[in-house]
Formats: sequence, structure tokens, C-alpha cells
Amino acid sequence: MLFQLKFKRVWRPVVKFTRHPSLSQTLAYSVQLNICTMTRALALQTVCVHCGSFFSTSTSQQFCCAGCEFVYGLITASGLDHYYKLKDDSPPLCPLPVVSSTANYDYCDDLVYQKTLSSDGRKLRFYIEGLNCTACLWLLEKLPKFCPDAEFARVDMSTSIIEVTRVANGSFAEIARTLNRFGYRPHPLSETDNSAKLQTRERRQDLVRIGIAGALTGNIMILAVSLYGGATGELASEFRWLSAELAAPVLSYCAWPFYRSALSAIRAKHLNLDVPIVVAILAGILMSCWNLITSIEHVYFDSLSMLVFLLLSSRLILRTIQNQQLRSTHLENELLLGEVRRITLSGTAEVVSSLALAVDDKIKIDVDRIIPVDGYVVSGEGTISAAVLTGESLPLSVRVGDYVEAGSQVLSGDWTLEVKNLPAQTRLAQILRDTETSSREKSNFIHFADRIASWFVVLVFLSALAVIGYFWETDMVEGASRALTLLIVTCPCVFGIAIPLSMSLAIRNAAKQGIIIKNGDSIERLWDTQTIVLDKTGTLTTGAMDAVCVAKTKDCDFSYALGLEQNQTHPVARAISRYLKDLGVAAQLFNDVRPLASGGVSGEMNGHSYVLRPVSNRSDSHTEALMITTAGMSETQKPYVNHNILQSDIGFFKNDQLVAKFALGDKLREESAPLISWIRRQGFDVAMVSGDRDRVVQACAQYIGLQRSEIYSEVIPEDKAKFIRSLGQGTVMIGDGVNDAMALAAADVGIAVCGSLDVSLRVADIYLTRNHLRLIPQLLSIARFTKGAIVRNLVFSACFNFISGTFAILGLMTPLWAAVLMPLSSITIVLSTVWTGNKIAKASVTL
Amino acid sequence: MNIVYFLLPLALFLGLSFLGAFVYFSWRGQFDDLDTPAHRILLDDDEQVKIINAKSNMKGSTT
Repeated sequence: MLFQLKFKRVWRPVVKFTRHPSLSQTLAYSVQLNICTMTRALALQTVCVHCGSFFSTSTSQQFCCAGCEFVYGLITASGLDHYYKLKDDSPPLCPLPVVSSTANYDYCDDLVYQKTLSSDGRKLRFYIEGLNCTACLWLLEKLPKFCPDAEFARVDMSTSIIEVTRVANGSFAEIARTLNRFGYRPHPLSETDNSAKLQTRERRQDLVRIGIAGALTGNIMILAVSLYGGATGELASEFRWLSAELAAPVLSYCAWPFYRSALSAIRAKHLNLDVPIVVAILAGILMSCWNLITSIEHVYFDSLSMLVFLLLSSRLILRTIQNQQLRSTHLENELLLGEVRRITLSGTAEVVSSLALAVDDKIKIDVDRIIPVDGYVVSGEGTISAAVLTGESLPLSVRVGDYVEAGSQVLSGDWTLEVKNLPAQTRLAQILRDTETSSREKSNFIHFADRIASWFVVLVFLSALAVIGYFWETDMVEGASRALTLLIVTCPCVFGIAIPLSMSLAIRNAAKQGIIIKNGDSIERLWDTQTIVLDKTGTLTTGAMDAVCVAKTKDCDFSYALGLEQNQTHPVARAISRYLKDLGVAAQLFNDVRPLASGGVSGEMNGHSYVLRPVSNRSDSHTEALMITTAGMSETQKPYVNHNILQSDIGFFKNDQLVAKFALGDKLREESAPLISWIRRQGFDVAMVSGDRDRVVQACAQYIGLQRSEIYSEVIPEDKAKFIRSLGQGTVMIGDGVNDAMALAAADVGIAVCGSLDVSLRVADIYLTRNHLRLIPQLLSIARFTKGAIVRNLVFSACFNFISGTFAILGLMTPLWAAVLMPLSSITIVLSTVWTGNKIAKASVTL
Repeated sequence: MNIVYFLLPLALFLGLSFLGAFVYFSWRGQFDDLDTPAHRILLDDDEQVKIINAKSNMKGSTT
């Protein structure tokens, strides 16, 4: 439609200028023809009606995938079309592409499980993936409308949590399934989880502290203005007493977190930022009280409460931004809790939670589910993907007697597993435990700011003591006044406000671009980046098995191939039919599709026989002939050139004659090669570590431009972590999957890419929410900008503190001036930080 | 200037009562979620519209 409009705009003037009617017609016709062929060649980009993503099609298809079409049907059938009107304004990345998971969430209805989650059994909270915009909010809060089991739903967008109340006897499993059907993947959250409750409590308390500090400081300032303005006599002394009374709660209750932190720092024989702040506050209180009692004019309650208020606010902002990031409390559920079908003694299957299993139980697991236990296959056969655990990109076939490890995903087949290790004893669980230990060790990082602050604090204290010592004999009051001036004016606001603010702005800017940084530490650690280590499967590649036609004859008709494959469940068949559907091929329906004993399928139509079966790689003679025709293939093949080709191809035969050949593999991301060259340009070392087979890893390395010495293949998860540790300081690991989890935790900075398994999200410091490696240079540039801002602020602050400190020591400045100058310097620093923050937000990096 | 002795406590009383309200509502969880209400306000809720209409009709009938 859109295209037609554009087309008209283009060719109308052409018609105008050609006077001769028949000539203009011919011209128009030829233009149209050209455009038609062009369109076919470029595979016109269309916008999916449901998810708004672009996709190529040559037909008038409206949806990018069957999932989107299904959800669109669901939404319109429930009379909720309004969703699409609301969605018009939202960012294009808004709803998730539909996760075609067959998860049935039956464990949500498990009574034992429910008890651990919900206090009254009526409400359950889910962490929702894909909740992004107003339209999502609208749709999800309409849940009772299309899910009769739900009575009420409330969404919290800041944490991506939906709280659902079920109707009496309603099923949480059904609610979870409904959410999943709509493309929002739910993760049940534990309500008895104390950390979440504590966090809410803490946040409320912080807010109250700031509220009180702000309100009272405002009032104290009003009183202070009249004092500075020259109020004298009885009224002035009243005002001083009143400001003391108002400041009391600010300097006690509101400033309590500083006292507590300073006290614990002193106990640990360590100096942190709060120590000088607390000393300045206490000294200020003492001097002000002394002056108040002896009726000397200067009291400093205004500047002290202002200081407390500013510090509290900046810290709350920082914490709020950090807490908004992904909370990892729900992550265990996904892996260790799943439902399985247990075969009872009578031979029937019952659905149970994986926690209810015992050793030697016989279980079946549905296709697409993650296997929660280790065990042996006792009957049947099928395929699994061990990509999560080993990084192996091809499906593995399993048959009776094979040992299957927890964490593998069932791809096809109907088979029974005998449980050997319960979820908690599996190798996967062991990896998770090790990973957690090493990520705890990492948090002992000493902040850059803290390191400098300690020196700064010692210096200021020594100077203040020296000043007091100098005046000890002669003029005690003058000495104390100068020391206090020094303490107030050199208040380390650059450490207390500017550095946390820079960090929080960096975190927020990163989040806007789809990078979730769990804490500011990782930004600091990114400054020391020396080596970037990448995983292959799922990081440099898309992680899903894809098929691509590498060669075909001219008269090959794919519609027969699609007809053969479209109803097959084997992962290879699914990959091929997905690829053909993307090309816009319409299927020819076969009456009878027969599986071949050697693998593959065959069918007959109109007297011709069609076969799809594995063929040996490149070497066979048919290929030579086919490759010649490939050379002339159209542009549409280009994006697939980067395909890494594996050892077995699938051949498509017509009457025993090879007419097309499909390669299977894990497609490399388009941005992988540019990323590698970008890393090289930045002067970092690069390495690729994969658990996949050497052959595949090498082929992959060749395409993206890595040297033989930079790739490590067939590495088990434990060795990945060892390798990372052996690299020493400044190692950044980028990966996904459980097989990278240990390495992510071991690295100085672990970055998990979109689509990673929850385990890696839990241990990674940084998580990319958009499926594009472009975010990695973006992230490094944010880190660099932030460092620049911090260094600039430090230099400014050092100059300011040196000059003003000298003035204070020489007695050229009164405590009043110090109280005025200090906030001014803070404001300068804050403005400079915010300015840099805005610059970062605008900066974009291209690969 | 004696008016100050009346106005000052009054101003403080007003300020402190608002502060009290803020503290009370903070503990009640009013400020826990600052993102969602901003979005929710944009949505027309048909049920709510109906209730408001019903209420205004009732008011109309009683007066």
C-alpha cells in the first residue's frame, strides 16, 4: 500500500512530460515493470501488524510470524483492538516477538509450590518479560476480561511485575498460560521473598527522610535569610533557636544513615565518604550550639541541613535507578522448577513439579522444555539441544542408554528419562553454585571514588588539626572557627554527589539504549578493559538453528520441499520450513509424506517423486554442477552468505536428481564481523571461546576475521572460567547460556546478550535487552564519557578545594562564606555532570 | 512585628501538617510505583466512565 503511494509520486511527473499518450503509457508500463522486478529482488520490507517489526515478504502477508498472527487473532477476538490504537505511539521494539513456548505452568497450581509463593493463596505476582509501553499496561490490566480465572490484575511498570488476584477456585496456571500466549513471558515471584520487602521498606524510609529534610530545610532557610538580612535583637535570637529546633530532626533522624555508615567504616578501620561528612556535621552542630548558648551571631543549621538534604536526594536517585534494573529473585524458578510428566506404575502420566521427583522416577518432558534433572534415556529416542550447557550448536540425538544432563532442551521425540540426579544435585546446579560464589567475591571491589576519598579525608583532617593546634595556645575560638570553615568548604561533594550522579546518569542512559547495568562498579571496571572475550553460540551467532539454500538448479520448485517439511517436527525440518516460509514460498500439499529409515522424508505428486535427505558435504559430484548456478543467484541470498556451514547438508531430490541443497547451521549475526574489527581498532585484545566443535568454531572465526591463535574451541564451562582468570585484569566477557555463566562471573565485567538464559542474567554485570551487538561499542563509549566527566569534576574540585582550603586556613573566609561557597561548587559540579549525561544520551556509536 | 508571633507558628503548623500527610502516605505505599500511574492516567477506562456517568446521573436525579 505504502509502496504504491510512493510509486505514484515517482512516476506521475514522468507521464506529464511525455506528451504522446501511447509513449507515456509504454514508459509508465516499463517503469512499473522495472519497479515490480526491483520489488521482488529487494523482497519488500513490510511492517508486522502485531509486533511492528520489519520483515521481508513477497506476498501480502501482514504478520512476521505465526505467533504474531495468533496473538493478533486472540486480541481482536477478545474485543481488545484498542491495544493497536494505543500502540501506535510506542517505540517499534515494544512487544516481544511472541515466544512460541509450550510451557504449561502447571506447577503454579501445585499447592506446595503456591505456599512458598503467596501468603493468602489468592494473589500471585509474576515478573513479566516484554512489558514496555502504555499499550502493554492497558492489555495486561484487562486480563480478567479474557482470562476468566483472573479477578483483578495490577501492573507495576517500574519493576515489570504484575499482581494477579484469581477468582475463587481459579487456576494460576491458566493465568500464566494466558500471559504466555499473549507474548509476555511470566515468571512467578515469591511473595515471601524478604529482600523485596526489605527493599520497599528501605525505599519508603529514604523517601520519608528526604521529605522531612526537605521541608524542614526550606523553613530553616527562610529563617536564615532574615538573619543574613540583618535581623537583630530578640527576634534574631528567637529565629536562631527556632532554626535549631527545626534542624534537630534533620541532623538526627534524617542524617542517621550517614552516622551509621561512618560508624561501621570506623569500626572496620577504613575511611569512607561518610566520615568527613559526619565529622563536619558534628563539628557544625557543636559550634552552632555553643554559639547559640553564648549568643554569638553565627549558627550553621541552614547549611548543615541543606547538606543532609542534598546528599540524601542524590543517594536516593542513585539507588532508585539501580533497583529498577532486573532483579534476580525470580531466576531460580525457571531452571529448577518446571513441570514434568511422571509415568506412574500403572503406566499413565501425571504432571508434577520437578521438585516432587525422586531418584529412579521415570519422566517425560515436553518438546521445547528444559530438562530439570540428570538421567538416562530408558525408552524412545529424539533430539536435544545442549547449547545452553556446552555451546554446541547442532542438535544431539539421544537414544536408549544415553546420559542426558539437566539444562538441555528437548527438541523433538517422545522418550522417557530415568532420574539419576535431582535438580539440586545436577551438574547445572553445581555450576550455578560455583558461579554465585565467584560473583560474590567480585563485589569486594573498592570504588574509585572511595580510594581517592580516603586520601582526601585524611588530608583535610590533618590540616584542620594542624590549624587547631596552631591556635591552641593563642586564640582557641579563632582556631576552631577556621577549622570548621575548612571542614565545611572542603566538603567532599564531588565524591558524595557528582560521582554517584555520573554513574547513575550513565546507568540511565545505557538503559535507554537497551543496556541494563546492574551496578556502577562495572562502569568503573570497564575503564580498564584490555581483553574482550566472546562466546560463539548465541553471542556472535543468533543461537537458533537455521537453514539456508546454498545451491539450486534453475527449475527447482521449493513449494514441494515446503510441502514435505512443513508438518514435520524434527528440528531440521522446522528450520528448513521456516526458511522457505520466509522466502514467501507457498506449500504444495502432499497426500502422503513418508519418513525414510536413513533420516529424511519422501513424497510423490503428479508422477514425480520428491525426497529431502541428508547428503554428504561439499565433495559430492552433484554439488559442482549446482554451484555454477548459485553464482547467478539473486540478491536475496546475500544476508545468508555468512552462514557457517556444517558437516552435513540436506539435499532436495526430484526423481532422484539433486535439485537444491540446504546448509544447516547457526547463523552469524550480521554485526559480528564489524564488532571484531571495531574491537581491534580500539586496541583491545580479542578472543573467542566456545564449547562447540573445532571445525565450526574455525569456520566461524574465518568469516568474522579472527586469527587461529585467538580462538579456543571445545572448552567446557569450568575451563572457560579458568581461561578468563588466566587473562588477569581488564577482562570483559560477553556471552549467554549456562556454559558462559561461570566465565561471566569470573570476568571483571560480564555482559549477557539478549535471549540469554536467566542464569547468565543473574551473574552478568551488564545485560543487553536488545538483540544487537552494536550495544557493546555503545556501552564502552558510555563508560568512557562517564570517566571523562568524573575526571573533569575531580580536577575542578581539587582546584576549588585547594584554593578555598587555603583561604580558610589563612582566615580569609568565615564559616558563613564557606556555607555559601560549598553548595555553589556542588551545583557547578552537578550541572557539569548533567551536561555530560545529556551529551552521552545524544552520542551514538556506529560499528 | 507582633503579628510574626502569630503567623510563624501558623505557617509551621501548616507546613508540618503537610509533612505529616507526606510521611503517612509514604508509609502507605503511595510512592512505591512512580511509573505506572503516569501511563494509567492516559487510558480511558470504559468501566470507570460508566461508573462516573452512573454517579452523575444519580446526583442529577436527587437534586
